[in-house]
Amino acid sequence: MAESTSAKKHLETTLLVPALRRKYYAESLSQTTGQKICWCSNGIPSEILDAFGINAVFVENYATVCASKRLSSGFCRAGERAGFSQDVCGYARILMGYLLGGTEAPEAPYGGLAKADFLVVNSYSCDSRMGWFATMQRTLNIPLYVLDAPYQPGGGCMDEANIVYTESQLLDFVTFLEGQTRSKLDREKLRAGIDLSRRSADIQTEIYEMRKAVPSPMSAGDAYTVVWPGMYMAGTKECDDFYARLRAEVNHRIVNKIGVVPEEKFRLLWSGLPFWYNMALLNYFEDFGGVVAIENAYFRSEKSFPPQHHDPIKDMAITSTIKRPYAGDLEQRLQLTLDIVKDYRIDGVILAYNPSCRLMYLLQPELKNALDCHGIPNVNIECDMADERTYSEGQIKTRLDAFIERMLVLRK
Amino acid sequence: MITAGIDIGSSTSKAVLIDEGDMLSYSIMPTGAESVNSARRVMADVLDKAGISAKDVSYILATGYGRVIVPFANEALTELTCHARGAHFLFPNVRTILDMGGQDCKAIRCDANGQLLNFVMNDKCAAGTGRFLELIARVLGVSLDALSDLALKATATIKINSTCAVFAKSEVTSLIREGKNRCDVIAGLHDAIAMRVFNLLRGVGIESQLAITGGLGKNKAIIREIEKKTDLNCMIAEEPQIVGALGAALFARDKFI
Amino acid sequence: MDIKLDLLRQNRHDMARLWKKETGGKVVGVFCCNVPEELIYAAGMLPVRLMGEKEEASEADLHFPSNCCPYVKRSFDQGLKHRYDYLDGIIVPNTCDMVRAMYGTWKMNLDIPFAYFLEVPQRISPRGIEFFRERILDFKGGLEEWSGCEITAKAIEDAIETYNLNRRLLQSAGRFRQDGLLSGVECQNMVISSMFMPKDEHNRLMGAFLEEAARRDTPPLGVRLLISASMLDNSDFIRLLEECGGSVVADDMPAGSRYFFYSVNHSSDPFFALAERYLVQVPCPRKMLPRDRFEFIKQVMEETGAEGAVIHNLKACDCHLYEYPYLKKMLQDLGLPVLFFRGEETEAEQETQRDDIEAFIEMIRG
Repeated sequence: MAESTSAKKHLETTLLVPALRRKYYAESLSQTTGQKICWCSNGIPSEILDAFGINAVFVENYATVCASKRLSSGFCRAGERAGFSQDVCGYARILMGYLLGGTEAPEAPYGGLAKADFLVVNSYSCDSRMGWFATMQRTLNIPLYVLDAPYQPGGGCMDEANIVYTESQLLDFVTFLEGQTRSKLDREKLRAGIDLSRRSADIQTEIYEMRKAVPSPMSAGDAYTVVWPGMYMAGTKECDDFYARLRAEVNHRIVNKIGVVPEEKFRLLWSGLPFWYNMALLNYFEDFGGVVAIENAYFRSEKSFPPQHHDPIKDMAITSTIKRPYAGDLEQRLQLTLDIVKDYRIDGVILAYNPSCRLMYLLQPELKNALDCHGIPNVNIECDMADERTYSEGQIKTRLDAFIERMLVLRK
Repeated sequence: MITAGIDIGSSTSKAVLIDEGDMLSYSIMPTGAESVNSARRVMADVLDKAGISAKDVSYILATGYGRVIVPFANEALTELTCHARGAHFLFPNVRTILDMGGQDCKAIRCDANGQLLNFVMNDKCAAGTGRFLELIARVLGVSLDALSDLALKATATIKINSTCAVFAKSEVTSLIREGKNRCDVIAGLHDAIAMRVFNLLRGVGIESQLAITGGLGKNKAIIREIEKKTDLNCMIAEEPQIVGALGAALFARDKFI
Repeated sequence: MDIKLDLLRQNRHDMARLWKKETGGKVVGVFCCNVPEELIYAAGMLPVRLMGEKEEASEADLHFPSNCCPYVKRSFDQGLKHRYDYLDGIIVPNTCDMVRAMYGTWKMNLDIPFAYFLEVPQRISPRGIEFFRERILDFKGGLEEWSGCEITAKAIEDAIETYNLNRRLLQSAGRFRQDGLLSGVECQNMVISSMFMPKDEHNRLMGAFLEEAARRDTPPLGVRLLISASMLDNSDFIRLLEECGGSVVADDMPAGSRYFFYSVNHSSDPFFALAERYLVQVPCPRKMLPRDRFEFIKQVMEETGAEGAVIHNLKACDCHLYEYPYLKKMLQDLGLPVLFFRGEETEAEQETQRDDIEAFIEMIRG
């Protein structure tokens, strides 16, 4: 294994995540209760899976684990040998390398993934996930469920037809899961799971709000790690406790003016996904008094909706139709980042171009134009979020160094 | 007070010695496989040319890709900051700088004091860089210097659609095979590069006056196309390759003000 | 006659402007195969498929990164270069990531009075058809509100009739190409010209063209090829295949059979019929799982007796790129040799492709 280049964590709570993650993978591998294992994409409402007692394994996360352990070259190469173009999502190539690479693939971290009984993917986040899961279905020859919902470029609305369709698809999903588990949906358990996951999501929103503080109490290096429980353990008490603890620590740092850097000279926004194999890059600015105070991926600024209906499925259908995360009109998405710049007193923006993550990648040039238009300094660096072979130290450091020089000049 | 700037680029290494505002000497050498050795050699050469010894140099500032591996440098800054500074020293009214080097092409904006305001660099693809032209020169079997002269002899410009280094190579080959005039094809190639570079300049916002630095600053055909597209006269140093090293030497001098 | 078909594409902007001047109607740009153009036609407007040109996308380069769908980027580049200034509206369906991105970029950067995003379910199911029917009704409402004119049931019925006739004519052209009466290039040019001409006019043109073609002596066919492509909005690649000794007898392409296979059913509920045709019958890999798509391709191959398959995927086209390893295997298992290209859609790449194609054709000839 190559040397680790993980980010320096500034918060004690962040240090709890690796153990949670190991436990999550170990539990799915060792469970003997006959619990069904489902491999799913991000964006699947895991509260429904939890209500069925299904063990959800979010395979994208596993790809980032492989990348952070510096195994992406080996897995990607294996995936490409199986016929997948270098153009496709780095996460998918890693997983396909893991599935099809045989002896050519590196040794799998955490002892590999628990064998899946079925697959679930959502259709409304990106094309790649659809293609990737359809491919896994062919490879593994197990059922695949596609959870569909309207895309809503306007960012969501109360359109009745959209709600009706979303609900019909959620119910169809429930029927599929009932067939897989030979059990009935426990609606009360689902209700409780939804309520709990909204509660922890709201604490996360509070923490995002708190991060506006100067000096920055928590940087992106920590933030990209602490999103983990919210993404993969949503709706559990453990997750809720985690964020309550994190909030307390962030608050403590704010009250005592403990910043990420001793003397904060400039504040940055990281736009796009980080490079999972080199998270230390997020700390790169700290020696120069710079801090990546906020990031726009996974960002949330709004509280959850109060329950819209007593039936949990209908409630989900309505709330997700009113507002779907990461969707939204181009202009709204640009405005969101411009607002972050203002609200978090950002001096400069790092635009991470990850070509294989189309959604983030396609947004960056227009974001760059918008930032230029508002006179906000920015710099673009290009490499894949997961495939470390695309990383070029010389090119990236030259850009970042020049950007730091520029930031320090502007401060003078 | 003698200070030195040393610029270790991907293709060439440059060094400049200045005594206050006067240039004593400069040196340009290819960057070898061992950048550390290239740094030593180019430094020895520039000292030799000025007839001084290393101990006479008060401060050495390194720049370029290899800036961090120059063992004898006192400090390092990126070439973007240094090109802005060097160009501003030569042309005090400069506001936009286009640095066309071997591996990268950079559009730079500076303020009235020559301080870096903004920059945009090309993406990963090699089009619009010195390396790209080297590749084409090799395919056509001419020297890099001759390429520009041939382009200037063209009577027409054949449109080259691809500036992807790989495709442009095959497009050029096939056009020549079809019997198209070599000069016209080369002119088309220069035009295509100029278009790419022009977009880079648009990305940073073109403000008069415009200076061109880096090795490709010697390529008259490209300069002509860029001037056409920007509708500006480009200012070019006598030796455009050493502008970054000059900027570095000036920053070194600042240490004693 | 072929040359004339080629010219149509070149002259499409002039034709649209002339149509606008003569009729005073609105011209509406359309992306992809999921927009029920019948409604636009029934509203008295001219739907035109947005297409790119093989030139440096110098303007679009400032709005899109380098590694993205060349087709969508080049179309947008044409918009930025004012070649589509005559457009009154654009309709963008929920087709793929790039097309969705295009919706926002186009709307923000170009002054288009009417920009409509058509939701398309990403899963084929009875509920999906029902939902799509709702969205199509909303689309009709949107067109009516914008134009201030009602789209009558009669107009819709007539439009479906005209479009179905166009499909039947294109299907005949498809059969002609199998028999060698038409070249793959001619057939492709017909499909492409249908995408921007008023359908009634195109029907007349096609009728005459096919009548003439039916009287041709059938020349010996080259190596019979099936082409599966993500998007080819011109006939250059097919011309290259045919110059190298191939005959394209079948296709699996959006600007090909996906445009003309399957008619809209006669139904008392035309919106349902449209939803069914545009959702279920368009074998697009974004919506259809590989299993079903491969059945379709297998069937086409058997019917046309293809001897080899050429797969042309535009770079960064996820929908097709994921499917490729399996499509290739499926075709090879059926004993069909496969040639793959990752396309950039530039003039230059054709030269790099020529050698590979010649070798491939020689290999099949044995």
